[in-house]
Amino acid sequence: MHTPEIVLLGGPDSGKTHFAGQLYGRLKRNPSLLELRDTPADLSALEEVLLCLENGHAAGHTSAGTWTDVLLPLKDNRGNELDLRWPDYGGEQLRTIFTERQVTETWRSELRQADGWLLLIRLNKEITYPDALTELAKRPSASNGAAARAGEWDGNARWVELLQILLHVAGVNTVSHGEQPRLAVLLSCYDELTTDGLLPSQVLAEHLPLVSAFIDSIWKPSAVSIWGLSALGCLLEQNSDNENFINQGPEYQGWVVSPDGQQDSDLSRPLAWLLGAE
Amino acid sequence: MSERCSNPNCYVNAGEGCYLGEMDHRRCVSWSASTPETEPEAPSLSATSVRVPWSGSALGLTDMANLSPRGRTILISVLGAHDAGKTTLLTGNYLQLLLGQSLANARFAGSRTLGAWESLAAWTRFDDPARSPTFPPHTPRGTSRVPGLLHLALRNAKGDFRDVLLTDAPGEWFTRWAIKEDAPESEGARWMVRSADAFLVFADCNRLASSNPQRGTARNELRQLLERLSNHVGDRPTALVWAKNDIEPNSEILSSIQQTLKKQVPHAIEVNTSTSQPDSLTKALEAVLFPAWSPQQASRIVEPILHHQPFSAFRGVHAHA
Repeated sequence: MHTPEIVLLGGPDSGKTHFAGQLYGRLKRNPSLLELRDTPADLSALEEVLLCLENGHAAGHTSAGTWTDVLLPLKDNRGNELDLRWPDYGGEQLRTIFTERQVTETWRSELRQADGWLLLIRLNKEITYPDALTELAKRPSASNGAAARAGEWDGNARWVELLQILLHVAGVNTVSHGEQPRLAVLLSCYDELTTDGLLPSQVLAEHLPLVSAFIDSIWKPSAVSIWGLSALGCLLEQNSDNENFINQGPEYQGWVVSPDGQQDSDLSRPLAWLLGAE
Repeated sequence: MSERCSNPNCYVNAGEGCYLGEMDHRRCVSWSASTPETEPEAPSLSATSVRVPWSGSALGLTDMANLSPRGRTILISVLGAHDAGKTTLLTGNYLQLLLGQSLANARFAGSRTLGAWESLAAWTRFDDPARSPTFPPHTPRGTSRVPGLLHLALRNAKGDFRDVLLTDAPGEWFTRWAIKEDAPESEGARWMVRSADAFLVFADCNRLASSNPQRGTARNELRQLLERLSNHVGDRPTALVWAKNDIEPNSEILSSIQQTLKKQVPHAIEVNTSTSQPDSLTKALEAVLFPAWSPQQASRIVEPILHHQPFSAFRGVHAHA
């Protein structure tokens, strides 16, 4: 049996845990493209988030040192069986890769084996300076201060550098479009954004233009797809008790926006695309 | 970690990856042949993690060796006197890329020097009300013989991939080089001129303006630079950048410089830039990037006709007249 590997890449607070919890609910209780064959033997990694969502509030922060996974025995709608290891970890690990410019052996072997990379970007949390040039044009002759500035990196540069490091470590050729892992970009917390009917790829290009250009240049078009994701469909706080979640069940909340702009309640679609089941 | 690898191109002791790609650098043959280095190293690096062979800062000569196998590299030498706006042009182009603009019909495809770009761009950002955003100040004249190289990878619609390297060098190098070509402190300028694929020469309109008492000196420096460059430029693409174009240079000075340019570097083109028009900064870089994008085709080998009789036309290796 084919056991595909995917890596889930998302910084702190990008919604990895909620996505995992909601994905599990879908696969088990409200399946469409992908479905669970059996109940996974070990659900401890999802225990907390599932309980929180059933009660209509947000799950807590995954601690930085966490590295667990859940084995999901899946079946696609053509009857193909596959086992997927769904990783869960503290998002700080990804930040550490960027700040320390080194990748642990665990991460490296995951990256090398993976058939697909799932990248979670929460656009609202990215710091960018889109108007730096226009601001400068207004005051061209401002005097120079001598002290060096240590501002925070632009979110664009941070993601590009992180992707470059990961690509290098995974041994992916970035010059020619050779063998490369499929990349699904999920713009998480899509409900926070005002999208004006733009496609997810256009939303990415608007918020993180450099990242969008980088992805377009490095991945061949057939190997990349960009989705909007709202795992919960609305904002949940740790102390909220959303009635819809409690009464209807969390498996009926949340949606994705497919690359062609259609809103769909099947949260497993990006995963199905990544695994080639769609 | 107080050792240095015996491979001179390897900076594993400075926290980068093994040059030969060994996971554990201690297994690398070059490392085992190394000798202890006296300088102590601070960063704590665990042996089981993988690092990358670039640091994000400006590139040096040995880093170029890492890039050159990837494909055609285009080295653009940015020449000009002190404070003529060289770094401003580079920063402006990076900021334009950050906004998703394309450069020479090609899109951004990575950079090994994002750290350096970001530290330039940090000057332009408004994060502290006490310090207004400005373009970066003076590039310091270092003892290094090679300027910091800023890197951009670009890919155009046809899929051509290019590594573009831009020099970010202090202006004093060129002023000195224009006077004395083999001056020891102009080693960097000589390297840039020798290795470049294209040139951007900066004329500072502010210093050439009628109101500026230094306009004569500025004209002299620029003309000397152009005259010196003409010895070396060959047919490499060259652009004269009239920087800070929102200030009008003195018209007589302007025409005398244009005359010099026409005589010394006849194939050069002129572009105007101004920070109040960010597009003009991109256009200036494109002016040399477009012609340098593809390598110049070698000219056909034509055998000279030495004799007009067919019998004599054969010229073997040992054939002498």
